[in-house]
Amino acid sequence: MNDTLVINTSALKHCACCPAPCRSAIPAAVSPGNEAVIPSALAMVSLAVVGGALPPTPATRSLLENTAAASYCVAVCPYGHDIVGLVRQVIDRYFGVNG
Amino acid sequence: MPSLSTPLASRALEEVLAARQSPSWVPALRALVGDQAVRDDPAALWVYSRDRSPFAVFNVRRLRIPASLPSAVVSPTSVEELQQVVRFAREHGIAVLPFGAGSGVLGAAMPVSGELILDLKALNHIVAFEPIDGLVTVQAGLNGAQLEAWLDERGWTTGHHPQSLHMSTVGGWVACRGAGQSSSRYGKIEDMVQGCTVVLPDSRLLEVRPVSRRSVGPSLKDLFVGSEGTLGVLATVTLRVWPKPQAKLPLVLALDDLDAGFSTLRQIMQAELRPAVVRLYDAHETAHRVGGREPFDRKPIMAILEYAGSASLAALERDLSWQIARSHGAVTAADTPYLEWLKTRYLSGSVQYQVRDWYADTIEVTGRWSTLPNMHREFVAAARAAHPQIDFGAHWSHAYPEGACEYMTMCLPPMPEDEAIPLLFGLADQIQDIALRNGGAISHHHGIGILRGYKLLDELGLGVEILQAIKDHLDPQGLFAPGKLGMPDRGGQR
Ligand SMILES: Cc1cc2nc3c(=O)[nH]c(=O)nc-3n(C[C@H](O)[C@H](O)[C@H](O)COP(=O)(O)OP(=O)(O)OC[C@H]3O[C@@H](n4cnc5c(N)ncnc54)[C@H](O)[C@@H]3O)c2cc1C
Ligand code: SF4
Repeated sequence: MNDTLVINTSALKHCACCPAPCRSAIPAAVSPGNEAVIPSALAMVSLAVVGGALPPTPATRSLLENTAAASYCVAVCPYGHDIVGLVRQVIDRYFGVNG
Repeated sequence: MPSLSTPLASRALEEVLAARQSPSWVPALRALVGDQAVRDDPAALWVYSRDRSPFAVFNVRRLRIPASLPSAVVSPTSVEELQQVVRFAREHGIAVLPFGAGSGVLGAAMPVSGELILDLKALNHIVAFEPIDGLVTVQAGLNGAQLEAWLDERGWTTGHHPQSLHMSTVGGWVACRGAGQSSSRYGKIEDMVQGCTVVLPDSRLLEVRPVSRRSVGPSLKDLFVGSEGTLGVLATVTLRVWPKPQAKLPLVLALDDLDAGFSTLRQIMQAELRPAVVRLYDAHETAHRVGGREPFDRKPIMAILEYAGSASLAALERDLSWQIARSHGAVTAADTPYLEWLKTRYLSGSVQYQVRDWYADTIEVTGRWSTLPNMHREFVAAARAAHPQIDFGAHWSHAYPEGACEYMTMCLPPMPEDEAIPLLFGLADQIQDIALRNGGAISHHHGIGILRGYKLLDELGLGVEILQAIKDHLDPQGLFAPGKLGMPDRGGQR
């Protein structure tokens, strides 16, 4: 757990509010049928963890660690957000090594 | 009817999670379709508690559930599995909600009473491509832009290019009766759907075979185009496709006023010309896009048109359109606004407002040419009366021989939510009334969802009884998309 890490919540909020034009960059075979893998969803979950509304449980951690699909979006995000990096910080800050 | 001040019972995520119990049937569902296909952990349910309606965004940014958490989420990977899930839901009396990409803006894909979400995006295969007949059949969960990219590689297009192309599914297009930015040439989605298969609420598979025209009673296909998940789940859709246009030629016009713009568009559409893109902007939106630039400094209304097809036909259509425009005092402008529009045509304009805690919403209605000018004047007056600081703009981007769609954006600056939401919903309510009074329709392509449901009686009159009778026959338990499309929710409330 890294208590000193400052999370860029405004980037997370932007991504959570964004309707995800990046989602078409995710190949059809990668996690199809799972809305929770798109950047905007990861941002929404991250914000809820940061805001204390979602407890940092192992299930939430495993949802946030599933960034294979979202990694395809980083290069195409028109707003320049690196959602995978942002989520990594949330995991480090709120879940710690064994969280 | 959702009240204008609190359209839905939104609550803090924490509070909802504290009261939540996992349904007893989840293990049986997992046994049916496999562990991986079912999710019911709180974080995943939070993700599926919203669509892209501004109302949902206002709540999500404050960590609130807009209406309800779903009970669970299931992702069938084949049509047969989808049928099994529907049968399971019926046997257990579980309400279900089809979910494409959740890009709807009226709450249609948002659970309102703990529905089981059917995420359809694993049904994303291309089933058949028949270039001789100009048809493509796809599973309904396929992403729109991925379909276009696949067709593009083969020299084809659907001609359906909504702003949400990259963020929506084919099934969602059909279920919402949507429109793309090239609707003036290729039509709305209802003009493109040639056939479909639908998993009915009793789990049987209805097939409407793709035949270009038939004279065998009312169109069954059209029962499902726009049904918003209330009558079954679209499993596959067959769409008309076109060879990619050889040429795309822009025409950017500057006009003196909106009346000149309406007359120009009307005469172009009535002259049997078929521009692929038609966009007329009011002075507010024109200024926002090209403020101060020549020639808009003297002619404050912009129209962007695009002609597509064979190079010679596109050029001829553009020339003929220009003659019409010139007779209404238009001048041509550089292509820059067209090129700028091309760059952002698939991006949301609202995010920049929502993220700064503004309240941005949109509404799109249809009107006839004879009443569009007056309708617009009434809309502007209603917006101005709603709030002195409202940012209100309009454009007309789907034109037909009989009329056009007016698409309005309304943004309120940061203020207490219990002031902003009633203002926005009250204005949308007035806009719908004005459209109806002027002989128009309350929705052109966003559908009805939850947020326009209370107006359906005003729009359809006796037609609501017919829709309800069909619904009651197909779904006697009322399990499919309760509370949507003006139908009662699980508590019997409309
Ligand atoms: C930025 C932005 C721009 C937009 N621009 C446009 C535009 O230009 N044109 C336009 O028409 N719309 C537009 N929309 C609205 C939205 O994208 C469309 O309504 C789209 O068709 C919804 O598709 P979806 O896959 O996201 O459906 P969802 O939002 O997931 O679902 C919408 C409704 O369809 C039902 N549904 C979904 N799939 C199925 C299925 N297979 N079978 C039965 N029911 C189903 C759902 O239950 C729900 O009722 C825009 C939205 C946004 C956020
Ligand atoms: S990664 Fe970029 S495009 Fe994708 S949802 Fe986030 S902000 Fe939007």
